Amino acid sequence: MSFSFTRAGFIAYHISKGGERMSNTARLAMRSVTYALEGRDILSNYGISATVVRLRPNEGYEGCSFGLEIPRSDIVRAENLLKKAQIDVAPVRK
Amino acid sequence: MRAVSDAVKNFGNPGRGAHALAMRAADEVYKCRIAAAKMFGAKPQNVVFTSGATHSLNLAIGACRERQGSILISDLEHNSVLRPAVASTREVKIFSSYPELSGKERDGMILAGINSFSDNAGILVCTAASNICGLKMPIAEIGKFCREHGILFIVDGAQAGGTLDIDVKRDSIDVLCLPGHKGLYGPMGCGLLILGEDVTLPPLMFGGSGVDSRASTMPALPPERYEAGTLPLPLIAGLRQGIEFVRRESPDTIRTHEEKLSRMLKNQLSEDKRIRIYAPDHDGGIVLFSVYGKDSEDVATYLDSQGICVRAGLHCAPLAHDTLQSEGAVRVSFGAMNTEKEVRVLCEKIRAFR
Repeated sequence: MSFSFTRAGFIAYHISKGGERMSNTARLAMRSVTYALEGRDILSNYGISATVVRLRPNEGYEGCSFGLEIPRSDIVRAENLLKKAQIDVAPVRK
Repeated sequence: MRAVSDAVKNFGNPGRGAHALAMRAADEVYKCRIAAAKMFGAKPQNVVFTSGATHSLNLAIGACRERQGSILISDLEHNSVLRPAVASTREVKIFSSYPELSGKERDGMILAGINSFSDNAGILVCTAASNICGLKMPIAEIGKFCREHGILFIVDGAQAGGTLDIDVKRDSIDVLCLPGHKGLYGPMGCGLLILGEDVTLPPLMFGGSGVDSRASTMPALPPERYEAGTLPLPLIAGLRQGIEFVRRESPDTIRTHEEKLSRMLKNQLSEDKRIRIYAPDHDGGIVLFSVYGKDSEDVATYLDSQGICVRAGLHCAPLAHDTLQSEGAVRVSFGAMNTEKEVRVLCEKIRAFR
């Protein structure tokens, strides 16, 4: 399999469901811990609180991955800011 | 030392789990990437950790296995360039560094030499400064030439990182290879491979990356694409402190200090007719000399008995010694902590050597 990502990482939505996660947060899947930390710092500059989390194997694109947990109210803005920082968005692999 | 010790005691494994100690470790690694990226004009994700400059150079040269064409190297290169170049089974062409010349005339002759070899050249590997005499190469001009001619440009920054102003974007460098333990004042056992913008190499090491575990290939993107296995977190923590030290002191200040000590040593040694100084007219933080009729190892052994640590022999750079017409010499390599008093003591001891 080859990838044609032109920029670092991709962003995918995973909307928290169920009682095991906070319902007022959402998650973005990042390509690696490096991009998760970069994304966290970018969002922090804009006042958006993001926590680096480990995603489940079925939440990432090819198994294990890291993500950002963000207040649901900020998710759209966060996605736009990360896109502006040249981090691509891709659909979640189900 | 404190950073290394603290990391051993208090940090987890970076880039794998997400517990508090692992995330603290991941943050430390990321901060080191940022520090290195700022120093060398790169993006943090293009900063790859290795076990040293030799490892970085082997990865870079080895990763070019699918690239066509010969490999050009300078006549100052260390064995960490020469050996992987030879092992690559490509045709290796060696261009002159013209140590007898200086200034724009020298730069022009170097580029003319490269140009004469550039037909069918795929890769050019060049040191930014010689590890035996500090002689600098015109990296920015070579980078520009390589970019114009589609030649992948790999720089050995071992002797220059932390003192010379190197910027991978400005200088058109595709891959910059650095050790942690020289001018970056980090511990031995770690190094950097810094990629230029939009440079993608095939991975050379394969294994766990902490992400994309179901894929049978390494991740598509740097830095994890090139980092298989557990990172040397304590060494990276030490390296970050070293880079921060250099940033605080400033590479210009450190270089000026080293060059001042070098000139002081050369001036004093030049009064002794028994001493031969190599590349005497070139400024750098290194002085290479020999004593007529004496083996360089004997000189180094004597200086060691006087509490002075220098290295003798060929310094793993036989090409460079041949270029300077040396069969082995004593290398005095200055750092930020050396003093003028130490230079005076060194000169006294050398004068007393029989």
